[in-house]
Amino acid sequence: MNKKAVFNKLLPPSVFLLILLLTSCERLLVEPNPTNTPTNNFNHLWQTINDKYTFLDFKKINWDSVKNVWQPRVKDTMNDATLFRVLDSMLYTLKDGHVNLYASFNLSRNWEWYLNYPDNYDPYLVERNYLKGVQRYTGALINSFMDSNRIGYIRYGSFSSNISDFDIDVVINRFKDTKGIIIDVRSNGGGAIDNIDKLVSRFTKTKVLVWRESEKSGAGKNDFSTTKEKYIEPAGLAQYTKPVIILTNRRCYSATTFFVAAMLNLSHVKVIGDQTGGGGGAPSSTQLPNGWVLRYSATRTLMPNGLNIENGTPPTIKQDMLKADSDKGIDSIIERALKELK
Amino acid sequence: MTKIILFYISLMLTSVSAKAQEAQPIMRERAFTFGIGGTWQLRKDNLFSPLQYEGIGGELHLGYEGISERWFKQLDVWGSFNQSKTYVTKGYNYSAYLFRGGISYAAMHRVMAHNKRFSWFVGGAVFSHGNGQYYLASVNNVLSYDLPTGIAAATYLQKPFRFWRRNLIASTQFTLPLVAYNLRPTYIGFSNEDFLKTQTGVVAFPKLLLFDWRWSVELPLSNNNKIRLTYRWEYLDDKQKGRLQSGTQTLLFQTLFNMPYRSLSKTSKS
Repeated sequence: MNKKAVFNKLLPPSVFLLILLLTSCERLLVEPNPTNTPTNNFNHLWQTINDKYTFLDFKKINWDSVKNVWQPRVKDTMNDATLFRVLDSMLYTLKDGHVNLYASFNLSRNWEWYLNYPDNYDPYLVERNYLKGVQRYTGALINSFMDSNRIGYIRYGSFSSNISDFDIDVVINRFKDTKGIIIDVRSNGGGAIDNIDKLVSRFTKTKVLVWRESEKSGAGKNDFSTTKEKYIEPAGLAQYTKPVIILTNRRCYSATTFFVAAMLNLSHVKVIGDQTGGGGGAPSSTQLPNGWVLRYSATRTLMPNGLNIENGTPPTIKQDMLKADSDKGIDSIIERALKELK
Repeated sequence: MTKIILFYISLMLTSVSAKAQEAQPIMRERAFTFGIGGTWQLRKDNLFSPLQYEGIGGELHLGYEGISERWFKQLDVWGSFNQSKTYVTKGYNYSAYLFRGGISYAAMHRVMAHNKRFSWFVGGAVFSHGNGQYYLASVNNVLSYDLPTGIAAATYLQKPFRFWRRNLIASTQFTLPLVAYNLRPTYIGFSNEDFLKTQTGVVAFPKLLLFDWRWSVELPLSNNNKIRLTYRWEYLDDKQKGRLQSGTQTLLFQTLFNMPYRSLSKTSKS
């Protein structure tokens, strides 16, 4: 058999063998998964927070001390449920609703940002005694006239419900002849940040700096990226520049805190109610070696006056719902807003 | 759509049933290529997860190839979809959708004098590859993508051979990017994706490895049409912050529809 014949015989199986060899290459080249043990999962979580969480310094948390408390409780023989409880407890010390651990059987979250405060919102009371069944539902915006058509009332229950340009323009046009508008975002737990731009842009006639944002860029406590300034420009068919009052309570979180912070830069806007719950760090997430998803605050946001909004934005006028009022079917916060607008 | 599929199948059947031609070294030929195939990918993106995701999917391939005594030119456009999973926890898995696509144009010059034994070309390529991953497990940074665009060194080797009483053509093609501009945003945000920081920059070999290695066997048919079976192996290693590694294997069945020079020139005159 000549060389050519041998070559031709050997070529196909050689190519096939080469392909088989390459098939296993990925396994060799791509870094393997980290070892899935409780100790390793604990270390991965602790390190991620240490390197990427933005508020350790702001909240004056000694993360090394936290590790010393919780690490001895982690044993490689412990089951998933017990490990989850330990990690949950450790994350709880961050007091941050944007820090969560997601496993298939549970979700960890700190609820203290609203649980220890008055509710300051009764949707049934508002519906029965103020909206009275004549409200309009324009997309996600519930709107109605108050005070003999002199005041416009907008209820926005969740930033996860998207607002279209059309919706907001319709509502602004409806209230164009009013003396003022009340925007009720009480118990709005946040959602999509895009909706903030749409709403705020209908209340300013000039481009306005609303906040400054930076990302944790290194393991050091003060390792932050270059600050990015966030501006919002006027948009829509018309902009409403008469008095606007935003109603808030402690359950205003995340995107809602951002919205309130942005609106507070406008001179015709006041906030009545309670301080918002906070959530001033835009979240990011990663996985632990066992697949559980860890969410954490990855940015910090400062208002133009330097206020870090992680713990919420304070109201211009502090007003709680009074039990005596509630018993009579009166919403103390709405009443205070109506009084301010008269 | 059904008509297009039927037309394609009938075209294929006509071609396959035709008597195979002698696999003579090609002097001047060009073809439109169309291929479908299956892919398997292993991917690890440390910007999101320390875990490997792997899964199978499908790929669609379109292109143009021209070969002459001096040049081999190739335009590739392809896209693929994979559903990948990470296998770490008993009872449930975490999934991600992977969308990939790319366009590349390679021009290679013949290195050695034309002969009947093999043809070898060396040259360069410009390319743009996009990889997007949608993590179903994630809460906020659901989507991540990387988009390297750059220039590469490329080589192509072709050899006719006879196997199972048929004249076939074996070929291999290797592409190695030298410099690329890589766009790789870091997503941080709320319900909708809102990326705060975009990691961009010029990355050069060996900080960016992006091997693209193809092995093909072609069966010439009538009228210079061909069918081709290609095994493609790609390996990406982006060693920038948050290392990204992926290995992709694709088995591609392609048809090459001959585009005769003569008929085209007539068209251009009219």
